[in-house]
Amino acid sequence: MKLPLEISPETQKGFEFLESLPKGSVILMCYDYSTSGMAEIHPSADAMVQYGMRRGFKFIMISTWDAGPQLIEWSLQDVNAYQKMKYGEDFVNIGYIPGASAGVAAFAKDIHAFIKVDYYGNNLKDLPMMKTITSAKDINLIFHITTGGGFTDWLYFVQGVYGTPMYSAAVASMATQAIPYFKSGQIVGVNNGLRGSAEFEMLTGTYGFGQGGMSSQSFAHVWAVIVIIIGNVLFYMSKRRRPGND
Amino acid sequence: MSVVLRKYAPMALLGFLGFLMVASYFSTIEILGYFSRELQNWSSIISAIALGFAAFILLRQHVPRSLKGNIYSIALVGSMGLLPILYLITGSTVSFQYNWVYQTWVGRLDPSMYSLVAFSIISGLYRAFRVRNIDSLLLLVTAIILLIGQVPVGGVLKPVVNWFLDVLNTGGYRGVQLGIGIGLFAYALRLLIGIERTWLSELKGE
Amino acid sequence: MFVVCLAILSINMYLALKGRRAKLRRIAGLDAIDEGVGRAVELRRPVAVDLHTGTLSTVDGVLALTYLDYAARKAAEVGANFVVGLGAAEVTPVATDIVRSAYILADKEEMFNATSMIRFISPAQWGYTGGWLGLVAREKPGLIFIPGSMGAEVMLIAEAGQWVGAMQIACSTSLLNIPFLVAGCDYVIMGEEFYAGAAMISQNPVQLGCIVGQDHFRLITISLVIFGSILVTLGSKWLSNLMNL
Repeated sequence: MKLPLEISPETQKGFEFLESLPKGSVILMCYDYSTSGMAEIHPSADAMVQYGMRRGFKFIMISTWDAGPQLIEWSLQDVNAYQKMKYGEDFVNIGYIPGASAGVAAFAKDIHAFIKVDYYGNNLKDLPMMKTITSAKDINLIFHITTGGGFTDWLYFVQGVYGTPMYSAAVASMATQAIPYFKSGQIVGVNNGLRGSAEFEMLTGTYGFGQGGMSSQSFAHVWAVIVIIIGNVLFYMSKRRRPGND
Repeated sequence: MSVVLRKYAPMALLGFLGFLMVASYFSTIEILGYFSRELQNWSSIISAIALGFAAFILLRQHVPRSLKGNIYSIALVGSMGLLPILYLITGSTVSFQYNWVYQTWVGRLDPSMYSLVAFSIISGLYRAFRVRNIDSLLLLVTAIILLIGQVPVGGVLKPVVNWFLDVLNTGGYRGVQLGIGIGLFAYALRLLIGIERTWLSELKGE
Repeated sequence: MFVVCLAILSINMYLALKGRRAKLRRIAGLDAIDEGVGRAVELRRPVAVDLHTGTLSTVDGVLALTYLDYAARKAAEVGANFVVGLGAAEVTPVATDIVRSAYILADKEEMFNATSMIRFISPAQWGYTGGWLGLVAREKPGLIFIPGSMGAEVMLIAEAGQWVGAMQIACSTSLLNIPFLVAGCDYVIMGEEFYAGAAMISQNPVQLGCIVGQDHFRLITISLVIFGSILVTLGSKWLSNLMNL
């Protein structure tokens, strides 16, 4: 059931930034989430890759979560990346990098010193697109998909140090943390949970679970409000029956 | 183990390496940059080893229990072994079989656990949003506006939600983050100069 | 700003070393630990500490050990049973050592049992959560102390304690967690209180001097924010450009 959706300013501004990127821009896709958060933010990842394929972007897939590599594979299969793009020239899958903030900082400083092979065991230096990408300075955008972890690592150690633009697709509870950085200009856009994924799908011209899930989320939120009201009604009824007791 | 090895050596190592990292951030001296890169690489290696160590501890705990017939331990040990065995058989973590098991099992069980959060949130909402005073009334009104405004059915409330996120949330977040940042800096300083030593678990008199 | 902060903290720590004593307000959550441990002993239920999946590579993970030490010493003093839930393998031996030391210091070494007290559950987020829910349902702790940082499972963890009627004290610097912990727990040590509380636990004068230094630096920062806002409103970017140097 498609419900009318107004685009939030943080998603709109982020999309406008994407539209300003030229063909051949290098996008670092960070899959910092596990399957538990997929419902909210995986649609953003799929929509970004599909949009990037149309625009001719190049992708580096990476994750600082141990569950990330499987989600990268899942996302690549969802969008038929292997059929539509050439591995090594249009996209590279680096997989999991250990070390959290230390790993992110080391990766950003010198990619080839930190990572020797990609997720499939290929020598990174032999991949055509990686010959010209050696550090965070060669990356045009970090598209960070997260349920919470890794956000401050990429923000402080990459965006803060090298000035690499960063876009955050985060679950709703995490997005409240990202929005202040959007307001200060440190992040170019925020996809706020499932709603943000749905808006992003609308802007990029894809239709996926993001838009499909909005009807379920609407009912869930309405039910939450009903529960709050019921709780208050029962609370006051019990107060009336036992005056003076809380 | 002597007190020097147990207490002073770890403190000295922590302080030396910590100040090295701080110095490398602010300076352009090549040797410092080299050391900081090496330390970051080693930190990543230690994190990777910790993952393996965690698997070892789990097996050490649960293999004896599964041999005694505990079905939950059997399920845990079995599922821990399944994906590595699949990898050994197929030779790849991107094989159809490996992906099928991951997407069908892990990809369904994980979100199922996450969905339990919905029930606990409803339980929390029922209890925590009772109006007792003006503060809780404000909290209730804010919660209802945000819950309804974030979904399509509450489209008319979207400008109010945007204001809440842009002004109230941002202001509150920045204030708390400022305090956390200062506190974090002070705590890190105390760790580096050896005043904060609880992680060494020293006994009294040491 | 880094140098200014360092200078202010150093000066205050030096003054504390020379004998200046700071008067600090009490943190309600810290005081409640005594109350909670006493309650657990009266109800003959254990004290449970949730270190969660925090590792030693994060400051919060190291800081949680300070609180673990404090809670363990309080529990050992009154002879309460103690359970620690862990999700990080490298923290396990450190936590074991901390709890053992606490019971040795209280002359109750015979009460310490590593197998039953230190429970490594799982490094996986939801695996740990499931294990912790089971632990709480089985052990029914009288006090649950949550100094660890967590992710989306925070509401489950907070509600689990409510369902068994435990008193809950949580500590967190994560703004993701704080709203849920405030809704689900009895006391929350939030944000900067988490770091300051570690100093107050130690009662070390130099550490307390450091807290005073933090407050002084915060006053300077707030003044700069107000001054900078006024300048920008009047159209001058002088201070913004200075801070960007």
